Amino acid sequence: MSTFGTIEHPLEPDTRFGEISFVGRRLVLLSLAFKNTVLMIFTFGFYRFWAKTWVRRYFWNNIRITGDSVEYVGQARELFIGFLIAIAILFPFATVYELFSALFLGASDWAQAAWSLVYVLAIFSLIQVAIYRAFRYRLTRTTWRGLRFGLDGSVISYVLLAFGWSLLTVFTLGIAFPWMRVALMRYRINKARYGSTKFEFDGSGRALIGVWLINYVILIAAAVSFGTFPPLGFLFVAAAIFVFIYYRVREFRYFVGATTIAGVTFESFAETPRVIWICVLTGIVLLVGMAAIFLIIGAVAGITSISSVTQAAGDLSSLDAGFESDPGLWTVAVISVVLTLVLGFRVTVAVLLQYPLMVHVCSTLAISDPTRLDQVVRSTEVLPSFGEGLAEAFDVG
Amino acid sequence: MWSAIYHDGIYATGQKARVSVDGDALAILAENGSPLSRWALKETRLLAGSAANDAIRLRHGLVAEDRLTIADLSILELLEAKCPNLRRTAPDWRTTLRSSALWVLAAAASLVLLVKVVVPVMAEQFAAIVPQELERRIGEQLANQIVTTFSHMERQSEGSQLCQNKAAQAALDGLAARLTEEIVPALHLNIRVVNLKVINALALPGGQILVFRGLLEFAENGDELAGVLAHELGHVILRHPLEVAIKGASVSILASLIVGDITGGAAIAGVAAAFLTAAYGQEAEHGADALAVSLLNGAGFDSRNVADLFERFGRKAREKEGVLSRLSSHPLSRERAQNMRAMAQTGQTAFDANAWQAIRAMCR
Repeated sequence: MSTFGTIEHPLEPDTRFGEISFVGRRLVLLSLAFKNTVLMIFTFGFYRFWAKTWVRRYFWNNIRITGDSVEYVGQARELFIGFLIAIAILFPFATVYELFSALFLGASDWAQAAWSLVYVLAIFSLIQVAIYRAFRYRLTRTTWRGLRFGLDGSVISYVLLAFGWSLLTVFTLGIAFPWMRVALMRYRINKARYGSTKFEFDGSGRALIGVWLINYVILIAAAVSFGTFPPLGFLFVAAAIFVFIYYRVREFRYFVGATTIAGVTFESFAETPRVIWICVLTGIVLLVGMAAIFLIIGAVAGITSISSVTQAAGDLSSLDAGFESDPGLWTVAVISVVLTLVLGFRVTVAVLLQYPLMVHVCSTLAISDPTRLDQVVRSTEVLPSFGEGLAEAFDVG
Repeated sequence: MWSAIYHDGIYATGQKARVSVDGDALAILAENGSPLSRWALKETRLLAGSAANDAIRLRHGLVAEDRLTIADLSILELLEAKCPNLRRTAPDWRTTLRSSALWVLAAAASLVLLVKVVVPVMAEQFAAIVPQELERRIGEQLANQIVTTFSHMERQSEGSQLCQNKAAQAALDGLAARLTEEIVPALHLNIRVVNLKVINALALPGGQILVFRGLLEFAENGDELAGVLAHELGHVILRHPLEVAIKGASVSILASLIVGDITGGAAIAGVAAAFLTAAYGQEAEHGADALAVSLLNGAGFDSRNVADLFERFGRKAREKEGVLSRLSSHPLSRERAQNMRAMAQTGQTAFDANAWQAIRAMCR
């Protein structure tokens, strides 16, 4: 195979494209999404740690960089234990908070306001902590050519940084948003390592402000026209969605371009029209699928209600008969509808959204001079033992 | 002998190597023949999750970081035969259990503590200080949810039909007002009769009381209905419904965190379920019973029939075991009936003949 050839001849000239690719098969992801969803439903969600791990194995382990596979080495058990720790520690905290709130409910207005501010701050910080810890967990569970990635830096610095920039973004009515994104990404990338070699990020929010302002103006137009002429508002909202996708693609390309490691540079040529097409297609399939399911439900419900009426007419003496048999039937019906909807949704998103996005992102990613990575040596940093507990609780994973 | 690329887990450069099976291990030699590593066959595993056949990619156990890449796919057959754990991605379940047992226990203890101790205490404290306007809105929302749920269960497509009749409504409201005016003057009440055949009555936050048609048919006389009404008023006055609502909300938020679904809908459904299936608890029921009888006595009504309906219902429920939610929130022990009978007094009837007729005909 040609991808393998690049390993045997590591000093090939710089070809830029084709060095990074995604070799996963769509059908494998389809069956994985199907199996995960079914198991998740029947285990009341407890399978999700294993499901997540298998999905990551699929996406990580099918990325080839200069012919070598990226590998996800995390264990589902680590995610599960992280979640248990979050329950064991976070819940009692939440309760103590609730009990304190009860005392404040009778207090004066400003005391209540102060207390709710504490609440908002606590949740905000916990979410940031969760994001940073989840990022660290994922990096330390990713290897390439037998070396792990890693993340230094402190969670507290990250929370403070996120807090400061969020405040600034609020005070500038959202204008500072790209600067916030860049500042947070800068911190994360600058603290990231491959082996013991640091990544570097060199970027500024200025590069993104133009795109952001277009988005900003359209959002304002949408808000204004909803007050005056709603149909126009919907039009603007639709436009805002597309422009936001455009912003995110531009942002992604900018972040990739601003990242270097050991003199190796990256460049993304991801295309907005392609990404928009993938999103639109997924949206259409989901809508049509949902409509079809509800039509079928409507038809079935119509038939059964007619039959129950005729049944009841023939059996007027026992008023209770219908009711007694109903709850079971009703439950089965509800469960099967929910199952179909959830299954359809998750499989569609995996196969029509995640898969083509991954393929597109990888195939448009260029890397220069990857041979410079040959000098990298492993790091001696200690790994975090458990994963993402808080991220689980706040659903930021 | 297969040619391979060996990554030693220390340097990012791979080196050319030759691989062969040697006893119970995979011998990995450098090109010049010097040994690089020996992997136990039972520790040799395949890269998981990738069906791509661009190369055979092997890892060394679950911890070690050295890797082998072998271009010749024909080695797979040999590996399948020799390596028992080739496709395993995790240690066996015993290891998983052992390493997580402590935290499972800690999490479970934390949950039990929360649900059994903290949530009830919290609910009681909250119930005492929730503003009335908020309580009324909560009750309104719950009433809708419960009526919809019952309608679905009885296959009534169009929500619920409220039973309306001016005379009957006035009789019910009038009785409730007379019963409560001594203890809680100007208590906000909203009594509604719903056209569903379930035999039940519910007290919800904010003075919402739902009486279902099934109960009107089940009651043999006006005094029995008045007894149920007084019992529900007892719950309202003691603010039990709000406590249950807060408990239900807390528990379902906890549940959704554990199951991994954080949606408001689940929380509302959880609270509704708490009313449909769960009880207020024996203590609360005794309290409401006692208050019901003393309300009836205080207003000069006959309270001797109250226990009858509860007792008849208890018999019916026992006869048809597994029957859902028929006053299941009011499990009737012999003790409860005895207590009610012991307090009972004679008095006037709750509804005159016309009013009782009107009430019974409300849903026709």
